[in-house]
Amino acid sequence: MPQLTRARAAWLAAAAAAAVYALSLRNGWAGDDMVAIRDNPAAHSVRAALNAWFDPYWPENFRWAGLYRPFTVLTYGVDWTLSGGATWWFHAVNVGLHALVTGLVVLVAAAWLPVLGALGAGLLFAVHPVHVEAVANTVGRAELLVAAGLVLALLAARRYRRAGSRRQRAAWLTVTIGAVAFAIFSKEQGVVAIALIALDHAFDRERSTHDSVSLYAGVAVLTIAWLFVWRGIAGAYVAGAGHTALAYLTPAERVTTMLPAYLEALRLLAWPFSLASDYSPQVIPVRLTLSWVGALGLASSAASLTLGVLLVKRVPVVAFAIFFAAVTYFPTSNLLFASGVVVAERNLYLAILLPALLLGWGLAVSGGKQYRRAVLVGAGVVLLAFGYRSVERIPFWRDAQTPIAEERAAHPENFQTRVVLGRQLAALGDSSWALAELLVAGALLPTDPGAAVIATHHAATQGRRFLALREARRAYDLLSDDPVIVKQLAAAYAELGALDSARAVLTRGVDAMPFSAELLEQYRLALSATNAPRWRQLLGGAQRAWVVGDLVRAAAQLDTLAADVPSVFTVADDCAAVRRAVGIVRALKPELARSLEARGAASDPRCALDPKSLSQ
Amino acid sequence: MTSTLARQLAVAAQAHWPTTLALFVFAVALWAQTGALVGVFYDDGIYVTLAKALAQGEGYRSIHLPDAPWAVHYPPLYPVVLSVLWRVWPDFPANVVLFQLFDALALGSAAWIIAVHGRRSRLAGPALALALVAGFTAFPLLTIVGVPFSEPLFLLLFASAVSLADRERLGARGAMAAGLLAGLAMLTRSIGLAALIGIPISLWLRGGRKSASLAAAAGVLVIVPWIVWLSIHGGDIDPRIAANYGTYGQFAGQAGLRGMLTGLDLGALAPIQRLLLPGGPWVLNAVLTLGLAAVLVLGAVTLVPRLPALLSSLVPYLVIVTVWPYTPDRFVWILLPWIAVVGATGAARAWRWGWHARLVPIVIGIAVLVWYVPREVRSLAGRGFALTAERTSMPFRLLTTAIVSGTPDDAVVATDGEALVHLYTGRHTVPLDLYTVDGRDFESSGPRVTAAYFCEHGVSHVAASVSGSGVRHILEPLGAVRESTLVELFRVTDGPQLSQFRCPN
Repeated sequence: MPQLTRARAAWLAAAAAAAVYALSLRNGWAGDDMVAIRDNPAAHSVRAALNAWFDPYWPENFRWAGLYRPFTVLTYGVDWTLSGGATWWFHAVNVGLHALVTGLVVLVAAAWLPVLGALGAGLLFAVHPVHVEAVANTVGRAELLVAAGLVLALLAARRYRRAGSRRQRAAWLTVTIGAVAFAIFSKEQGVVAIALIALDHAFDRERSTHDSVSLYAGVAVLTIAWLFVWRGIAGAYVAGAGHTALAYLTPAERVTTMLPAYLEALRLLAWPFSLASDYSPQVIPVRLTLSWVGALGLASSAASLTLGVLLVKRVPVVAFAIFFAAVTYFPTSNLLFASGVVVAERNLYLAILLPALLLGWGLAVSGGKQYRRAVLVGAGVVLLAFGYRSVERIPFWRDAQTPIAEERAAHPENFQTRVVLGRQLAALGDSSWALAELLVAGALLPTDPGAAVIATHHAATQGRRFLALREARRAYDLLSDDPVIVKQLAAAYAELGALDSARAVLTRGVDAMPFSAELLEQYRLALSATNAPRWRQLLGGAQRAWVVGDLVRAAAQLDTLAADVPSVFTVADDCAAVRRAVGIVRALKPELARSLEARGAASDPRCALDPKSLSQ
Repeated sequence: MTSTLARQLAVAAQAHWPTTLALFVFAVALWAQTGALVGVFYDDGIYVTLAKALAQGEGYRSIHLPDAPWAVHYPPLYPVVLSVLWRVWPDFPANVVLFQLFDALALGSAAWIIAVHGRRSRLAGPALALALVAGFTAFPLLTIVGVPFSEPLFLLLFASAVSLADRERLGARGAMAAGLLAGLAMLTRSIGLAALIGIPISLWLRGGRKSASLAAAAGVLVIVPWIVWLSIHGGDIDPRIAANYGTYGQFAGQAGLRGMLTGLDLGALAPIQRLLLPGGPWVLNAVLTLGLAAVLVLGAVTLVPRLPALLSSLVPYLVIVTVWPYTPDRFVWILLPWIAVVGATGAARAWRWGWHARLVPIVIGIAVLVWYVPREVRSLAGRGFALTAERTSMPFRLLTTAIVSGTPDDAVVATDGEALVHLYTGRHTVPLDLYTVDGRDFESSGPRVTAAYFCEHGVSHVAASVSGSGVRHILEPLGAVRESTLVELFRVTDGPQLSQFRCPN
């Protein structure tokens, strides 16, 4: 029997990973695959992907997500070019990447564990069911790429620290920085590279032949530069586009909501038999104050980290694994900033190193002991059970409908699944069922205006005007400073013939959002529809022209209205309209502003324009 | 394990503080980047327009001008670098991020080189590091770092050249490399000529005649193509815009000898005095200025044997800044890290001379602490260094949007920020204010010359980022040439304005 070497263990674990996930080659597009790959022109050729190198990850209408993953898109472009868009090829590449990461994990583990322990760790990493979402769903590619880059960087940094000659150092420095670049341009999580390298360095038992200043400086420069470019590309959305459930929470409320989620994440590492593609409320409910389950989450997270500290000297491999999992999970923990998910199994991809190394350590310490056989049997049972659950879970991602349908059945309390299902049903033409799902979604998470916005649209499409008004009103009560919601409510009123109410809503909207061009345009149309005086329509038009920067038109409209303004204002609305636009009038036509002020004063003392508004 | 790492980090921090400084400066330079429009400081817009021309294969031309003349005013290296980045990411203004990143990398690299080179000053490590941190975070320097200026690249090349030339064992290759870098510095900013003069002189004085000759030859070889370019295309520039677009020779020719002689009042050094010392009674001011000058001179004298190439390059640099009829501030701010090192060296030297001599750095230190440090802290805390660029941007944002929506695509716009307006609107532009130089004064060309120039170049609109006194001297006489010459389309009170222009004849 050939001796089990590190390399053989790595190949064995990689082969196990590939074998378990071979079934995923039968999967098609599912989940976010459609938007990110199937319907994304940037993912359809290498040239298109390179041209989109400085574009956000998501196509045009989804850029609020604030993601930047050009290397991932490039791999899609390569896949599409090679396969003509055949899904099996995309899945095969994912399986290959998972096998690669698994092999690399064995090499990482081998620094602390005997070969059998490292193999055990690799096998558990290969078959862990939490990985199904990342491997069997094509858009999980980003997780696989970032993981490959980070683990490769960690291993290359080890080689750099041991390099003897200057040439070797330069080579390993280049490989390390290249691997970090690979990771960081594949997924934002790559920013933790420097922390992971430092963590591995801190636990490294072998003496370095030289200092690592150049390595840390290089990785730091790359990370800072990437963060700068990311901010430039994703703009205001960087780390600001939180999950819907978290978007309207204060930082304290976000943390109290997330504490139970940390417990769930720990559960997934240890007991991954109950899986979900989405953990939105009410799977993990929004909790505005500290709950007992939140306290438990806090206690278990703190206990894990404390255990890590206590084991630094006694069992460094376990301490390393705990800190490694914490560092890789941190960017999506919603602790410092809101991320796009509450919990996502794909984000735990690298954190699985924790149970993997625990298993490996268990196998290692049992060597030569009486209970060795029991440990081996136990490990085998765990691996078989995990492997079985993974294989069972893979078809979940076979097409666009299955994840939503199964998720709805498994977690009817998930509002997000209802919203997605509502959208899918609407796209399929079943507007009634879509509306029903959206109304349920709104009931499940009454603090979220999103479902109400979509429900309003579908209710209006079906001619259910009162329902449309009710949902529009609900969305407006939750979020009145959103132009889309204001427009929807005004349209709902207009549909019922309540034009004055529509105008009143738009007037309030324009007051609250004076720089929204679309709202100003709607307001101008409402003025026209309600037969407002011509000078008021011109004033509204000038306001809109100012906001879109068409100052030539704004000035021309003010010139026209100058000859049309009545000498005395007769209704309070006139005064309000002038007050609203007086800043613009004063900026472009100061004499007209003075004249309007005089007319306002002559009309009614209450109509006198606020001097503050004049100076704006 | 962890203690090993901590020990290694402590040792590394001592041995490798230049790397830490470079990282810090790199991060600060990125933080200092503004959201201002490119072109708010005029030259930044020209650099980017030239880069755009190169990237689009139109050659080294001022493509915003209707006749797109060959560029002869600005040396080409910085626009060439930007043009490479433009090719990588041709989506303006989004690609400004890459320009900013490059500038920050250049400044961080320059910080590392200056720190390593500065060790030869024999200042104590913490004092040198502190001086460099103060120099690199000084708010005037951050102001110019916050827009796409050529200064960071220039500083990197200039610092590389002098630090290489100051090596004790400098072979023929080293001398040539130093000269080459000095030549590249001159291709970035013409004042890089100072290094091209200073480095051979320092090598000559150290007894390396061969090294001096090789450095000079390498430097000259690098700039020869640019000189040839200037001699071929220099005469093509319309004399009416030569002050901004002509060669430095044309500029000096207009200014005349009087422009140079007037500069000998040493006003070039005034920015440092104004930056560091408070105003007040002239006696106090004079005493403090003399004290500051003494500390700087003492520092410079001390450093001559330790950093000869640096000092022998800084002297011609300051001489050029002094006599050249430009406002000296921008030329001085980029030297602040070195000025801080020279000042710290002078203070340290005076300190060793006993308590009488210590009084001078103590008094200057107190003055700096009272006057400069609070301003610096306020500027850093409130990003005051970025305010000028951001405030200047605001009217241009209104103006450029209005030009896009209110003028036809083929409009030719005379404006006060011609490169900026071209970049953000795509319209051809010409300078609004035509002037010539006389001595150190700028003389407006007058309405008839301006109108004639506008007519020759097909100007259809006149746009100004400001209204009121800033442009009244141009627009009122121009409008008075004939009644219908300027028809106002809009004018924002205390803001931008746009008019239609019709040739008077």
